[in-house]
Amino acid sequence: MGSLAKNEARWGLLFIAPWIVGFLLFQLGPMIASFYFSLTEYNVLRPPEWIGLANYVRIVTADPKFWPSLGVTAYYVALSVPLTVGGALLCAILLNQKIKGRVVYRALFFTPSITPAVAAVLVWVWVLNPHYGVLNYLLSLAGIDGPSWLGDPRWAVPSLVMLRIWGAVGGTTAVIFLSALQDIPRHLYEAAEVDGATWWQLQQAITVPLLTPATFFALVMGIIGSFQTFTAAFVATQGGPAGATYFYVLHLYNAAFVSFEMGYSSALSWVLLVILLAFTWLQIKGSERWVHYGSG
Amino acid sequence: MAWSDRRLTRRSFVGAGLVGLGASVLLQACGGAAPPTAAPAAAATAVPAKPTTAAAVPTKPSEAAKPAEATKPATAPAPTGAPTAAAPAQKPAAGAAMRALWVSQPALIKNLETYTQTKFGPKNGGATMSIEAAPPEEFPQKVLSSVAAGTPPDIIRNVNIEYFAQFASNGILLAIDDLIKRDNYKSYLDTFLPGTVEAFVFKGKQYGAPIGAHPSSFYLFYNKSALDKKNIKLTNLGWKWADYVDTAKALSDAANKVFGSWIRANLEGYVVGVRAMGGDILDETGTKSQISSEPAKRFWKLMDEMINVHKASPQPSDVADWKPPFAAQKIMMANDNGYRESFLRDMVKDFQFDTFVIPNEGSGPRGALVADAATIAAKSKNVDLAWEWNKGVLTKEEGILRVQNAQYIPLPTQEALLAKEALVSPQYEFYVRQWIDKPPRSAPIPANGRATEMYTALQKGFEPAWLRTKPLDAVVAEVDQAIQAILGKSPA
Amino acid sequence: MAVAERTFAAARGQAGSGRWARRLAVYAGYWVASALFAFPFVWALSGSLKTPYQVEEFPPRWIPDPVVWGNYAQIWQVVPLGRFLLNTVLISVLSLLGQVTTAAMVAYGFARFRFPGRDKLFLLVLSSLMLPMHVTLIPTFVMFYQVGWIDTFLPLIVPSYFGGGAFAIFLLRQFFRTLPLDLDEAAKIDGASYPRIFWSILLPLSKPGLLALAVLGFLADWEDFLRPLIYLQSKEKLTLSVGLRFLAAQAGVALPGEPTTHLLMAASVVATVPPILLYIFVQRQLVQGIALTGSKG
Repeated sequence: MGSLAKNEARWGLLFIAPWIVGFLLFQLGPMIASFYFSLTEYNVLRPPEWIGLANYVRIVTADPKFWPSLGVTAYYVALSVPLTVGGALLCAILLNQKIKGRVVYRALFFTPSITPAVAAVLVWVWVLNPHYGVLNYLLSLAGIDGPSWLGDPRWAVPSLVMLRIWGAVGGTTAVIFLSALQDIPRHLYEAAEVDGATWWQLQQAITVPLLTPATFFALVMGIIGSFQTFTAAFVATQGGPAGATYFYVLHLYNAAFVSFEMGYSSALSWVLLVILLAFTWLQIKGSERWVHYGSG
Repeated sequence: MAWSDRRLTRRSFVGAGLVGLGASVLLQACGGAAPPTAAPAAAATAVPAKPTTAAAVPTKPSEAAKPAEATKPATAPAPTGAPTAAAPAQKPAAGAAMRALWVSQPALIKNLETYTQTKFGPKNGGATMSIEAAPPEEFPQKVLSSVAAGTPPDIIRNVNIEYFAQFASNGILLAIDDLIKRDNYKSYLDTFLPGTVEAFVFKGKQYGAPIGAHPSSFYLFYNKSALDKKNIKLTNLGWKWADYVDTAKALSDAANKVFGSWIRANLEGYVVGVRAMGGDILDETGTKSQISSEPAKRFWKLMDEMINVHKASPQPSDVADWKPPFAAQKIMMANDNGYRESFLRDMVKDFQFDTFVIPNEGSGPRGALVADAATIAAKSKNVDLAWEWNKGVLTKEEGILRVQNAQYIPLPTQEALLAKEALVSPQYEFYVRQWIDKPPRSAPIPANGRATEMYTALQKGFEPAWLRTKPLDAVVAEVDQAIQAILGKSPA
Repeated sequence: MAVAERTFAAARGQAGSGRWARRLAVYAGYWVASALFAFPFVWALSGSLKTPYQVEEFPPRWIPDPVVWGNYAQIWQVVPLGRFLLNTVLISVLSLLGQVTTAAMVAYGFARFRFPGRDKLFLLVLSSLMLPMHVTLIPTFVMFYQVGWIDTFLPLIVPSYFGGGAFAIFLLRQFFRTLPLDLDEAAKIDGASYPRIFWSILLPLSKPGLLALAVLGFLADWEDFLRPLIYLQSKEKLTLSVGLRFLAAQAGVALPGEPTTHLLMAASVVATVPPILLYIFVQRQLVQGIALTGSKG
């Protein structure tokens, strides 16, 4: 390595130094500490007490809420991720059409995603109220007797998914899709149209394959994000009714800050990490089959 | 957009970063000691011109407990021993602005605010107590964070069947035995109804005295006009649960969403219900779950049938507060605490209501004692002042005032309960006499202090049964197991 | 070329009726989606101007009558809403400043330098995007507890001064990579140092990226909930998100036994207006910035 290269490397490291310090201080360090706590009984106010793997054993064998909360979360993820990613794609396709006042529409689509979550939830709780909510009123105009939404165990998760769709489909994911759409060279479409392809065929042959990288990104981040869903359930349902919205992170929060079991909560967080890593790994493996990293 | 580009020059870029970091450091300097701006307006006006006893109060409880000259009977307005000259040397306004962390009970907070402004403040050099209402889900976390921050509230609301044991065992609350001794307060505490003061004993230490208590949900409110129409009279104190069910069925009208009864579906409702079947939720030692004992199962079955078979009770998750539907004649009977009667007086317009008690097929007294204390935080910097505030709240006069204002559960001394001014209605008198004649046992508390967890496990645990997302037997077994697991944990 | 265009036009002409149908579908899609997105805002605004009991009316009333502007004044009396706003602005601004400055440095390091282990380190940056914050939540809480930072703004600000997070680094690195290397090389030949190149060449060209990041950072801090929830405790220090919850509890004290939804709606409107205004001012840069994170790198 020449002195020039050495000089470059030194400067490079200097520039990334803030991240290195931050990584050690706020990520690696806490992760190690969290793993240590997960092997102890700890409530912050008293020093940790070593109990080995007991917390992990308790999670899988003796915690009556672990499996249900995992199941509820998986249900939420399975319902919300495809719908939000698909909805975002639809929004992007819409926004990609040449139409007057596109800027205004784009603003309307985007604003739900920048509405503070707590404010959005408060509004939706009122909209969904079974007794005087406007949604059930609108449904009643159509002759439908609306459910209790957040008060009904069968409808609580779909209600939160609905909230999520409203708050997410027009946001960043749609913007990423939109830019991917705009990156598709026009000549591809034009050539195909000359060949007499219909709009639908164009989408299937050109748009969909070229959007697979953006879709993959949206799916990975969507799954990671919605596995950690917390605020809406914390504010709107506190996990009810009948545990229908008792999400994993709610369980984790309650263990830490209601029961003061920081050690146990740390163990829960490690289990979450492992689950997310496994999911992400599976997706990356699977992506080789369907994600199309073209030259375009 | 041009304006934004202009603003984002290189110099402002780095400058901004530095300013930001500097401001953060500055914030830290302020953050630890006090909020960035001056103290709230109330505190500012409260700083008195002349030195007061409040400002001179020593900060440590152990020190406070020792001076013999401060010993005065309970009726004394404030400890008077401290010298005046030392006042300026101490943190001047620190003793004057206190904080209390409360949960729920908005009407009571109003009452306590009035007490602070009109009585406590003037007597204590304009001291203030700002009462912050926390959402119930955030309450334990707020307490923990505030203790961790070293700036705990001076007063923490505590209910014997909820966080009390957990907070006490983690050293969050101050034991007040020394203060009681110093002020000769024991003689006054002895006038409290049996069990109420003991509700705040943890490992032999006293952590508070109840500003209110009640025997929980054994009390029955009913729409008298509706019962009269059906020619049903509730007079037989020895009535059975079967009679209760029949009455509820007779009053129900499913087609019009009218429910004959509402049973409180939380720890209190469950404990009282199971006890009224002759059983209990926990054994006497607080280490063994009785959720799947025979009497308990009878009660679960009753709940389930009332809701799902007879359609005589609404889904608990649908009706969080029974009073509005009761006033609207959609719910005909409800079992709850006696003091709720005071709220109803304002709400019920179109019919007459009266009160009775739920059936009792057990051998013990009805109900379960639930008590509510304004405990002092162990790390409060205003222990003596907080104790003065607390004592003021505990006086007979304040207790009577709370009942008169139709706002709160009664102070559990016989004197306050049976004072003529306090017996605001025949219903209330009936309730109080029932309570005094047959004092209930305390609500069951896990020996390891994990009361909150048990409370939640019970309340949330039974929801699937009422909503019929799972069979009742499975739910009972699950809750039983969950409670047993909580009881098996190490101390809170 | 001209021939091709004519053929293309002919092809489009044949599909004329289909195009009309498509156009109609596009318009319908726009209208329906816009209505769905906008409805909760309109409804919240309407609710914020109603009397307490009108909020619970059924069937609901669309336009409040009377229009109670006083609701907005009343939330200020029930909670220190101005304080919440100020706190949120303060935290968001101070934190985004650190995020933008340090993320730019780190991104420059990753985008323009060769050093051993660089790609592995960058992979580490990316993988921390996937790290759930809950794994570090408790130790971080304990750490801030040890240094006495609970109930201060510092836990919400200081971490931003260490690279600003994986997303910010990623975004700016992507942006730097769109800038031609020739500029750096030319400056190097002229004898400019690395800080000088960063300072005089890359930063001036990166304003749109920096702005986009600043806005995204601001918006994220503005709506953050879990961290303010556990770190902030006293009333005077709450942010809007946790302040809204506090209001929900405190409104009951101001109006015992009465509905408080109208106040919550008013506060929600107040909390939502600043992000929307911000979006309107910088939407072009924001959209470009987000688009960058989606492109391959």
